[in-house]
Amino acid sequence: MPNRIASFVSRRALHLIPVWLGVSLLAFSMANLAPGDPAEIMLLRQMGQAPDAESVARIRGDLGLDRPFAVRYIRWLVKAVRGDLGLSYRTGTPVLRVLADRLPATLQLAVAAWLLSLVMAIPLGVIAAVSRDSTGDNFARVIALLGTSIPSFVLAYVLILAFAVTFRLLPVAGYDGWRYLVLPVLTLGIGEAAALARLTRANMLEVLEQDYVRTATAKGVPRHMVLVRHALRNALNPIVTLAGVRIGRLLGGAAIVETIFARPGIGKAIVDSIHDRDYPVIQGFVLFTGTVFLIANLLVDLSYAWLDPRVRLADTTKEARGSA
Amino acid sequence: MLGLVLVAGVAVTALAAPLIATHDPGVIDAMRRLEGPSRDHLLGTDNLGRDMLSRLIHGSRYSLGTVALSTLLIMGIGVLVGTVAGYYGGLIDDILMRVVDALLAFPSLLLALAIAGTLGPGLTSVIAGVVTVWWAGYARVVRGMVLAMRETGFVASARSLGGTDGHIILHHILPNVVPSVVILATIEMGELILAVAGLGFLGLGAQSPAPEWGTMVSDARSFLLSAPQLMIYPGIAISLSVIGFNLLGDGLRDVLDPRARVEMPGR
Amino acid sequence: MTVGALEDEFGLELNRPRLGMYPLNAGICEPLTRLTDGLHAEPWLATRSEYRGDNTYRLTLRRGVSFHDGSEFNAKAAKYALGHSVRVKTQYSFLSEESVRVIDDSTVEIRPTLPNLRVIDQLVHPLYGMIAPGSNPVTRPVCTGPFRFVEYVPQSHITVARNDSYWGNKARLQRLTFRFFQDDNTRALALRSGEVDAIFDVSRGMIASLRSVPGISIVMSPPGAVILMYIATRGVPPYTKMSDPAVRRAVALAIDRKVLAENVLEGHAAVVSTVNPPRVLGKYAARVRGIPYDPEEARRILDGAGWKLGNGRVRAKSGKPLELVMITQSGNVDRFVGEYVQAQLAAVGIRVKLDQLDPGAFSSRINSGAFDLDLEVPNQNDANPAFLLALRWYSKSTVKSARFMFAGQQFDSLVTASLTSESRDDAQRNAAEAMHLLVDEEVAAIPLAGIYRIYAMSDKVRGFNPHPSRNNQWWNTVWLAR
Repeated sequence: MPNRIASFVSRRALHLIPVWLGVSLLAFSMANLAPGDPAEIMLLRQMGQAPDAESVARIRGDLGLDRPFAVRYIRWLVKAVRGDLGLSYRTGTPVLRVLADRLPATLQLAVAAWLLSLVMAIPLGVIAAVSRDSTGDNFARVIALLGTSIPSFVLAYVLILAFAVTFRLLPVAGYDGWRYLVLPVLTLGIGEAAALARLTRANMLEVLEQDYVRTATAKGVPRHMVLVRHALRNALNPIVTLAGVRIGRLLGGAAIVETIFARPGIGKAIVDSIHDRDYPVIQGFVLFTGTVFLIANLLVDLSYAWLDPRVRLADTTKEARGSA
Repeated sequence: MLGLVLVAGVAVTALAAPLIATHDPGVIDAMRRLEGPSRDHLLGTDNLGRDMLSRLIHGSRYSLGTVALSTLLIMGIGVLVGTVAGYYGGLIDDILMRVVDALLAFPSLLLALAIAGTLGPGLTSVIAGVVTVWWAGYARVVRGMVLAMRETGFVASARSLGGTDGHIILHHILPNVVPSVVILATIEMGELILAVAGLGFLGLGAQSPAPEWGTMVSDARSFLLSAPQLMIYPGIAISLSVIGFNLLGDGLRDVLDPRARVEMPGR
Repeated sequence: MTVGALEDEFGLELNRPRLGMYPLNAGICEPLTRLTDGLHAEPWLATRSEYRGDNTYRLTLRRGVSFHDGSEFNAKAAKYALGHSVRVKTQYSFLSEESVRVIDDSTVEIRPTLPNLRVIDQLVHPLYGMIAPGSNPVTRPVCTGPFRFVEYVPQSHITVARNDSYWGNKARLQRLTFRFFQDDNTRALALRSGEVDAIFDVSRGMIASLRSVPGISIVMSPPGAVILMYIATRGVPPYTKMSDPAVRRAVALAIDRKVLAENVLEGHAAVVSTVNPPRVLGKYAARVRGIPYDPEEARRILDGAGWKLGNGRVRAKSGKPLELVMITQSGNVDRFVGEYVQAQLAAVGIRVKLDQLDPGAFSSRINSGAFDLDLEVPNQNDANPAFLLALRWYSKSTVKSARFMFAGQQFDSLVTASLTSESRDDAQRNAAEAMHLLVDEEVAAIPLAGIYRIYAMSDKVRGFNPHPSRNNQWWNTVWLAR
């Protein structure tokens, strides 16, 4: 058995290499998608004025921009593997340091929103499923539907108006302690909770129709026992995994939420660096997010295999199960 | 049912925008700024005196048009890649699926944002960003379906009857794949509307004075205290469309395909 | 007291050695001369200036001034500080390392790199603030100002505290924090919710609603900046339509600047005809008359120039439509101004394509001459009447885009005359004459509106005098009522 797991792990890890190369290629191409000469833009960002042709040519040489795409890509990749993602055009700081500076704000936000969504979604979804088609179920479904449909950037302003401007309970925006975290987390967490509640309900309904649940009920096992011991456990497993996979979605939403609430996180950094045409930062952040997600997915798959021996130790990525 | 009504309503609005709208959405009347609802302007005017209702109506063309076009492209690429990968297998399959894996390794919105942003603001960039990211999930689902069909011996029997690859794909595989893909697209549509509006809000979408809903919300921010309706109306328009597509998607899934749960890889 | 400031720009490579000085001036450092709210230079750390001929000024420095670390402010320190401004390269710098000569302990001579007698007017800029020799302005600026540096947290805030041994009127606040808010609306909401006591640059949409809040008032400075339409008189093909003076004049005639100021900008702007705030031209400001609103005349001129209105709504000449590309840097100008101009020009048969660009794309477009019209809001941050003229249209300008905006030989010599006039009066007269050519004759630039710096603050904030130049705002007179 341990051997099988070891071979599974190494197979999965090997499989990641070409995928990671694809991720890095995508990240690197970012600067080449854009109109404009990176050398000129870099000088412009650093000197605050339009550079002369001579210094542009010099910088092009220094940066190796006159080399073919493949050469530049490989150079960049080799450096990136060693942890050198270059310097930000705008601020001149190493991209890796910008990343390190920006990571905590995003992690706090994403993890807190994720926990909030679990705490809200699971009870809501379970109760709705158990009391299917009752008033409570319909009410919960409407709430969940609304929650998935309100754009986060509208919800954010509604929350600001209510909690910061009208009742003055929380600060409008900024990054200075937990009070500044509440509104962004609500904004991000509510939408996610609504989506997750819908999934929980659907899953729970499916489980409730399974034979073993029906059998248990028929045998006269008390309803709450059936629910907790049989239905909930089986319904929650995929939900939690799915929620884990969906944390990527939260990172996407963080771009908007961080911009509105002025949190210096990764999402806002990407928005800002796009605005500034700060290619090393865009490339570095795209590579970083991609890498983190590949690793996270690997871990999810492994934990899945570890926890649930019934999972066939096959090459799971060949399924449509997904791994965002 | 409600979903169908909402979706049909929004679609008709978009198609017939010039007929329904009472005003030219771009005409500025600086003397009649930020007015409340009146007979003249049913939802009042914005900060340049433009008719709010007409802007919302025309906005549906930008918002839904972008999403509709993107969806067509996404389905097209997704079905093509998924079918080719699933049908031929082997090296082609391996390469295509590694590309798909690479794309799915990112939070979709963040990658779409990065691509659209680097290309520069504009609806074309938004479509390019969204399509580049979103097709991958479809390709994977389609490939799964094609593989399943191959396993049933369905393809082999067609081939033994002398069918060419093109014939088999066109007459046997696609008719089975496309309906599920359409359902999937409907389910995903709400998500896509939110994504496009989000990019518009971040200033990457339609350029002024095009009344795209996300851009309208963004413009309305400075009037949040004095004229919150400028933000609320386009917000409601977005929400209603998303609700419509979500309900329609749920309905379609239940009616047409109750067992096969087409799930998108989580975004 | 906490003030809601704009986006943090000190993290930029370029601005790092200007921490607390520029673009946000936290009152830590002071220049040799100071910009009054009438936009002229008054003696400050230099008490006297004298022109010695041969492009050279002699300055007498104030005695008894010390830096925050206790060291003495003297001629050597002044040379060091001005040298620092050279080392922190800017396109505006008119000095070189050799420009400053120490004469004695409290006297220096300044000789700019080019013939330029506006030195005293230019030294007011916070970039030329006096920093202590040997101090590290990147992490901890040590200067002579009414406030001393306490802490800077990137993207969050910069805090200063009262300098108890200040040579002049000591600050009334013990502690002053500037919190950075990139978004105009968030900043306004933070004031509304009581998180900050005052804010810079209230967005126009927020003014009315903030004004109606009890306990909050709006404070406006005199115009310190102008919404200005730059014109590519020598654009790179295909951007050549504006090389025709008739089209330029028609564009100017088609824009109703009064409605722009009073309605679109909600009355928080002034109708001006000058390209920088009229005050800086003194009594000569009236020389620049501006082009009046007359759409009929615009149509006649366009007809006469061969741009005919066919069946469509856009004029055309030999099959080419009269379509202009107007660029703006997003966030720099209210996008409504662009949309308004677009609508006004449409009314006379000119189609305007509005390109809102991010800063990088904007610079590459403007520096390659790929535009017809360009909407910007240049600020006047010093007392030099010809500052903007010399920067944007002058043949000797270091700015790359100037070659696409050339306004003629005569304009050029008037700017030279203004820069080399010994008296301020002559400088103003020559600058006004140059501006008259630029705006009224050549129509190589169209001033759209003079805009105020708009502050909003809680009624507890007292003693605040709004300065037309944001970078020259002083905070030492301010206090908080209990």
